[in-house]
Amino acid sequence: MNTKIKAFSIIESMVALVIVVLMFSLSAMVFANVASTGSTREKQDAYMLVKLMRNETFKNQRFIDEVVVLKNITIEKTLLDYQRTDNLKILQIKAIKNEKQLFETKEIISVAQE
Amino acid sequence: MIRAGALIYALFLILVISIISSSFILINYYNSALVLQSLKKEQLYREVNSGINYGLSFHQEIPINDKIEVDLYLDEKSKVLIGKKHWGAFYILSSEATWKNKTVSKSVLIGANINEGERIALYLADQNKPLSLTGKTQITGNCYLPKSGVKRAYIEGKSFVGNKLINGIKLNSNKTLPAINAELIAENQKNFTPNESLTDSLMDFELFEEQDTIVNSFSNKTLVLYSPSIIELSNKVIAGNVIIKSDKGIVVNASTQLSNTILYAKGIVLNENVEGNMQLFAKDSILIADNCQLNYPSVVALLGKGNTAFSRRIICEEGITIKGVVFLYNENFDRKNQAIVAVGKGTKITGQVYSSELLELKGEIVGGAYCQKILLKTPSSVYENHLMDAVINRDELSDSFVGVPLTETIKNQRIIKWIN
Repeated sequence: MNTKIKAFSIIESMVALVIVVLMFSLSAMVFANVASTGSTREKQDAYMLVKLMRNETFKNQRFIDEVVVLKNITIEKTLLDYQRTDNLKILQIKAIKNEKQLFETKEIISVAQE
Repeated sequence: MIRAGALIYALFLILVISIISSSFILINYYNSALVLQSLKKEQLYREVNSGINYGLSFHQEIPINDKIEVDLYLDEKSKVLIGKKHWGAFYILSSEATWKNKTVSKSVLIGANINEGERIALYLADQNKPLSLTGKTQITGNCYLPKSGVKRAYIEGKSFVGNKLINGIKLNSNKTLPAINAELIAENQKNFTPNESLTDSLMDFELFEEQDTIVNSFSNKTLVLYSPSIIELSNKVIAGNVIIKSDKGIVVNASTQLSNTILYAKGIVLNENVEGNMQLFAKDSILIADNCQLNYPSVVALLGKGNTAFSRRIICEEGITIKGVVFLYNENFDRKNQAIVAVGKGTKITGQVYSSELLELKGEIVGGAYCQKILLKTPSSVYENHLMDAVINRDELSDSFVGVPLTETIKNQRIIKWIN
């Protein structure tokens, strides 16, 4: 048995390795970029907390300004005046982390009815 | 020269990596799109609700049978279409928000917050005759009465049982009743004729005669079923955005269930045990037979125009429950044939009662009553401005009751129910 295994030269292997590593890092960068622009875990947490705050506000008829910190996210509830009438208010709820606004909801509520 | 045999393996690896990465990117993209869509949908619902609240506050600025675009926060980001149309004695307010190809809309039935106005138990016009009470009559709430006041009477072997004649403040009434809402009358008088309209789809009732279920959503055009002859409704379920019109009369049997439906006819008869939620508008007469149950918000209205050889009447026989509004308006007063609203024994009306002429009350009104004169018919005689064993209680009417602005201009509108 006199079989010869054909091997790649060291330069050949190095070039292939460099190309693979380059491609891998490029795709990792693209993926990281895409993942960060979409809905992150942090943003989803913020959304859930804002929704919870909104539901609790309507359930308990708690139409007052409030600030609550949950999971390191600051939830700010503000009742703003609406133009032209005292019967309506704007219920604004913001989720903020490290001075960066993650999520915000706004809706007009009827104070007379609520 | 470098041999490129290893590049084949490198290319293969690159292919595998690119497939895996693109799948991750796709998953991420679809996940983000899904989250964005659900967030946008919730935002649309918030905007629609905001639109409804806006519409309730600024309802006078919203044109009837039309839609206006409202920029809710004046930031060009949150725009809704708000529309309003008559639905019998009430209004339907609708709000619609759109994002890309997604549209969310809601409609509500709205009425006047009558508790905002004067809470009157009885308004009896001053015809120089006092109000006489006998039997177990109870009146609770503020009353506008003739200057001659209120007194006890002894008729048909019965005298007044009770400590106080009126449990409330007595005020002096005028010679005539407060004028009824002219727009309400004009708008509904128009509807007796089967007019072609862009917002309605007019159909011949005969086409639906065999159909046992007629349901139409409030997001569609109003289905108007018309017949020039008498319509008899038996074994049918009619619900939603449906109006039934007849040039002659409509007879409703207990086997028919009506929900949110409006009936317009010369005469309307509800046979015994009819149950449902409806608005009845007649030109000449409405007869509601024993044990009918008209759920909230129902309307029983007679709008008389021109002279007749008979007296126009709304007759509510015995054991009936009506939650809503009963009103009679007769344009031409005829002394010989005076129009009358008759409420029989054991009948309970929760809401508002208005008769531009006579009221015969043997049952109970939880709410307020307006009338020119009260009539009491007994087997032996007819008495004017007498009440026997009748109950009127304004204080018991719920604060949540939403009615029709019959005599007052009421600014605030409230939601009666969500219909779509």
